[in-house]
Amino acid sequence: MTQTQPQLDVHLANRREIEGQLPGSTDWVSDLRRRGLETYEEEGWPTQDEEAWKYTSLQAARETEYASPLTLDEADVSREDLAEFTFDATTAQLVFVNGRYRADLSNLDAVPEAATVRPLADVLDEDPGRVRGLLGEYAEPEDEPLTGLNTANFADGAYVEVPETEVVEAPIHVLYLTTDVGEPIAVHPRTLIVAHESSQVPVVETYAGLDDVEAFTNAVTEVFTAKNATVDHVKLNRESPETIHVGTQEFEQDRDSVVRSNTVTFGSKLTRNNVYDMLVGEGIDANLNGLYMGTDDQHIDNYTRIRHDEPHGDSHQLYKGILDDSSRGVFRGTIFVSPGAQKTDGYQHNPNMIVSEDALANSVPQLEIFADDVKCSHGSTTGDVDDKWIFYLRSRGLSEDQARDLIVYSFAGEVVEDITIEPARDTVRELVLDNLDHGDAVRDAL
Amino acid sequence: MSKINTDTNEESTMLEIDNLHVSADDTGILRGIDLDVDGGELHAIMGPNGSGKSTLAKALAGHEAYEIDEGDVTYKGKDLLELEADDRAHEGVFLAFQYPVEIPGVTQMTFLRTALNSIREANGKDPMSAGEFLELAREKLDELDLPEDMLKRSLNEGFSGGEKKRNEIFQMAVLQPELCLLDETDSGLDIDALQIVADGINRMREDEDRSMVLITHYERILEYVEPDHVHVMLGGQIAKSGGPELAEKLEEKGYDWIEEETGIQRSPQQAEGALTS
Repeated sequence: MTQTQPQLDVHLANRREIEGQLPGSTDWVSDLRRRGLETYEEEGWPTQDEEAWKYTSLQAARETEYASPLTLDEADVSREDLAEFTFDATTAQLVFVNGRYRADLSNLDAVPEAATVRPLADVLDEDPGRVRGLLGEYAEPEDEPLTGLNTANFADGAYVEVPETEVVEAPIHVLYLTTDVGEPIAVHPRTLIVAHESSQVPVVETYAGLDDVEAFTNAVTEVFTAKNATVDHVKLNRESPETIHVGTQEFEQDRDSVVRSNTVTFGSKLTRNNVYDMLVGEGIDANLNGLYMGTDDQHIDNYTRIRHDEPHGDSHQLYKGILDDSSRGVFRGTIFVSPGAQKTDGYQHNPNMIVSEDALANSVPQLEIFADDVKCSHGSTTGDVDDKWIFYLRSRGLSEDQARDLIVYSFAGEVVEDITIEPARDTVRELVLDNLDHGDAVRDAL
Repeated sequence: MSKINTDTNEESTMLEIDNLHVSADDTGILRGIDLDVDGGELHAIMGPNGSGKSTLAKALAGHEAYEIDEGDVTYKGKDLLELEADDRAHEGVFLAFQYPVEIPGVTQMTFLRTALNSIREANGKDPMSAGEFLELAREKLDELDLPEDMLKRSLNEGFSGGEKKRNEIFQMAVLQPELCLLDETDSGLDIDALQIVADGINRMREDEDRSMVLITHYERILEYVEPDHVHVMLGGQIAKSGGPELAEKLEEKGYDWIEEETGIQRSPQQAEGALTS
């Protein structure tokens, strides 16, 4: 694999075409985009020579001739088309189809008055000062080339801001949808969530594909959790089986804040989730869990990095994988503890259940600890469905299929039942059951 | 290999084992077991380690690791050996495991209701609703002095040894099988737990048609649960059969006298532990 860029990189060509349509002409936004572009141009695509990308190749995304959907007509999508991906009608919802905001499909009536939930493009065009010092501050354009590319090319995304001491109880749902437009498309959704001091907000991001759209999703989500604030966050991947998804979530947490995040992957032929959390204050609680369920030849890579900079921080990561057919799961996670971060309590665990002989899991949990008074543990397990379990359940009357599916469902349950946002938890539970061969039999028993 | 049951004079025979030979990992373990269990009877099977007691229990429950080399087992007039493990459960066979398996994440409530309903379905009965099931389960938990939160916990995970054994009896009480195979359910219990387990077994015996095969190392449980017949297994065979007095004699004199009397040697090389895991 080489580091050289093709003569005319498709994403750079796309950018040239859509440049006039991109929101945010203010100097600082233009500057941010320029820095992103430079990072991408200079560093190019990540390759498997890099340790962080050792198990995952983005070659296919690099070689495909993706068009920017901004150059195409708006997709013909109705509310019925979205029904399978949305929660009930009262849920506040922002919908983006092929990168564009769709007011006709969104529902902002349910948003509490105190909170701001609106398309980021509108904010950049009408009131850019509002996100200055926030956008690109946690996911800096220089962090990674694909974060740089997102910064350069993003057309829109969700902006969620909750003022001090406001508590938003009902979840806000952001749906990024891609549809089949007859040719491969690349989208770069950008989400910014800001929870001010002592506020609370639950947000669900769903990335979904209709039909078998061939898309490249390069998403970046920045989440700022101020002092004593709480953010519940679920990222749900329900992309089409022809899509390549790279998503970077960057959390920054100030003192005494709480983040409860779940990164759940069912869709995409190739998924890379980067989940980063910077714990920059004392007494922080970070709960970053994940679930991935691979079928066919899906490749799902979760890459996490938790950085403890201050004392008394708790971080807890549980990533569970269920791998069927010839799918492959990768987990690489690091807990980094700075010298000053005494009394850190870090936990990281990655159990994988291999359901088929051809499935594979790679797991690399890591600790980098530079403080001397901490409690950190990490581990991973990989196993198949134990014959002993099957016999025990069969001896009680369950069929072999029922036994197997009950075991797999229950394995996922530890992550699923801990999802704090109820409609997301219900959806994930249903998707797990849908993915089982005999999910109905298990469903009946619940 | 299947044998059609033509016995007409044994209407009450629930289980008929005829010359059963079983091996595991190409090693012969059972070498011609003959045993008839009538409806309503309790048979105690005793014997030293490695004599094949657990193998008999698992082979009867349908464990695939045990190869049937020879012989027949007729249960309620049907060829038991032709049935899969789950079909045997549907027909009323229940094995209380010597070492109950821990299954992470699978809650007892979901598991046991699924089991009960699959048995009910196989027998043409309507499934039991969550509410009805809960009522039944609470009653049985109470009888066995088990906490109600046991239903929400993962199957046997983090249970004490005694809790696991009581949990097997609890499952048996909920599923109401016709043939109960109890594989050393009394081992490793203190006297209080043993009393609770014995009471649970005796309650199940109130049903006059229900049969039990109780495999044990120790005579102690037979002070609480009175057997109709006692058998001694040695070297994969039933070396001696008798009434409750046989158990007392074993307690006093051990197994050597049976070896001497029958010429059947116990086979220590067939360490049962290696095959029960």
